[in-house]
Amino acid sequence: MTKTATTFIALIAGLVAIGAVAALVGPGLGPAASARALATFVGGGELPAGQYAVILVRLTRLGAALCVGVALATAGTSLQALLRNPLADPYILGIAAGGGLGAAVATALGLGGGAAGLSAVNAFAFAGALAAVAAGFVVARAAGILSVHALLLAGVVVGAFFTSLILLTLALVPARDQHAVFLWLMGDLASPDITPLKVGFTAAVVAACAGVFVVLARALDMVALGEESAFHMGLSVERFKLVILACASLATASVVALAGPIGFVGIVVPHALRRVIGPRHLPLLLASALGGAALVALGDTLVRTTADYFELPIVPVGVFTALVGAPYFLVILRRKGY
Amino acid sequence: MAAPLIEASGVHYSWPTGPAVRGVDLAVSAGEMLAVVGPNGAGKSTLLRLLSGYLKPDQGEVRLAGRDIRRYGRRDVARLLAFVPQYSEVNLPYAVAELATLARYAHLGPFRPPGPVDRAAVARALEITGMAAFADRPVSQLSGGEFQRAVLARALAQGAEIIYLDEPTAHLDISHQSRTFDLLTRLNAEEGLTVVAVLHDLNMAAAYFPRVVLLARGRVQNDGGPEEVFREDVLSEVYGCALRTARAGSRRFIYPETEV
Repeated sequence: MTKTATTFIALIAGLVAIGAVAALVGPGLGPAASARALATFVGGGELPAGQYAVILVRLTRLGAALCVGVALATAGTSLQALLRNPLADPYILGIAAGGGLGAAVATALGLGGGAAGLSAVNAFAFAGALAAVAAGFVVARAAGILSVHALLLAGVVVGAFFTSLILLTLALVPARDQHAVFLWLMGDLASPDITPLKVGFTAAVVAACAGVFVVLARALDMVALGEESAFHMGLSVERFKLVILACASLATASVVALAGPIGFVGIVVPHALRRVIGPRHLPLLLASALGGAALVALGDTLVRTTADYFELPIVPVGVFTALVGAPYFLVILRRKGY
Repeated sequence: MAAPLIEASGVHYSWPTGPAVRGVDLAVSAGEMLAVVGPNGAGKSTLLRLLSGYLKPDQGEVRLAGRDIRRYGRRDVARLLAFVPQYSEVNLPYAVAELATLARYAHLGPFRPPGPVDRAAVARALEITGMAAFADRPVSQLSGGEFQRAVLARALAQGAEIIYLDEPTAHLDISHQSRTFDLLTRLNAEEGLTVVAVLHDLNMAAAYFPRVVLLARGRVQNDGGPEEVFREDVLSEVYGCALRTARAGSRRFIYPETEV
């Protein structure tokens, strides 16, 4: 069996196992009772209200974790090819800072809660994330040509600028709101604000964008050889760049709006998998989607269950992924395996 | 008489730093083998990119097979014309054969998997460039010269009737330089491949190319066989240094007059 096939089997098995643990373990309902309740739930049967609530919360949170993982890992893979930069991640264009500013402003204005399951914090974060990309985009595009080099530099500067605006907002709001903003900025799936409706909406956006990446996998291979080479091989490079950037921005902004900026998934997952299955983007994107989903679900389940078990305050999953991801990335770098 | 395969008329192009190509008229017929030479900054690479459609002329027009190149789709151009750029960088470890297979995009588009025709084109391109033994080698493990040949193989795998090369032998030792030009000459003679190459090496241009275009300050200074173009007075003036020519057998050589 090839390395690629083995990797896919391992990823799928890992994801199923993590998904099962996430659905079956937690307070309120033991694993065996959870399994019975889940079977009834999936079968469309009637559940006692308490059990229904527990299962729904767990599945919503699992769904959110899967969305975040798929979006960040596939957008990271695509941006690394497009920007020809192994350090590119979905936040490099200033999306995290833009989303953070949106969330901070919404909190400062006292716009928590909201109608129809869609709250102002999410909407503001989504708008802020897209505003950050748009700012970099305006700077980097001249005469119909988008310079990815300028886009990278602009993204870093826009990110720094928005970060200082977040700090300014934090300085102006009461202490109670500061804590809420801080939690959001760490990237967290525990918020009761994450409703099934929002997860469903995010899943639709993420699936559409990831689908575009997969469809354009061959073009991603070409552009990884350089824009001019890709052009001469027959790719409409400018149009292609716009599509990839739009999808990467949308997918990332939607998960940032849902759960805050969860770090390092978009950079660590593609790098780790590229080492095993090679640079071709069709298998790499599919594997990254599975791997990203598995990593975020694993991280969230770990922080959730250890917090429950040891009766500790909950650690946001974004802190976990960064704590695990950053050292792992340094190890890869040290081995020059990127 | 049939229209020239490649035709530039009144082509101007300016970079933000100043004009690079200033009114070039050039016609290349199918099956020609043409070298573009000239000093640094004469506009050689800019001209080649204009002729490929990568840059759009400020004034004038480039026609491919009689039609304005801007009216072609990208893949239509790529089926007619392959390009070996001066600088290639591939920082992901694609295998040499994967690299060459990507050049079949012009025929396959984004979705269709490579078929027997594509595999045959790739195998042949690797074979004639001497890269068959490296087919499964990641490009990150190739030497500079091997990489250059892999890029040439990729361009040939594209299956176009025109190939443009920008300094194709810059990283090659003298034996691989001559093998590359021998290969291009053979493909030109046997299959009618139209070759347009930007070269710095005047001696290679004189040895292999029946037609030479000498560019100076964005204009065509001289256009013809090497015997007409490579004259001591013209070259010395264009390059701004004393150049001499000598003969050995039927071959002509150009060398600088040294000060010591």
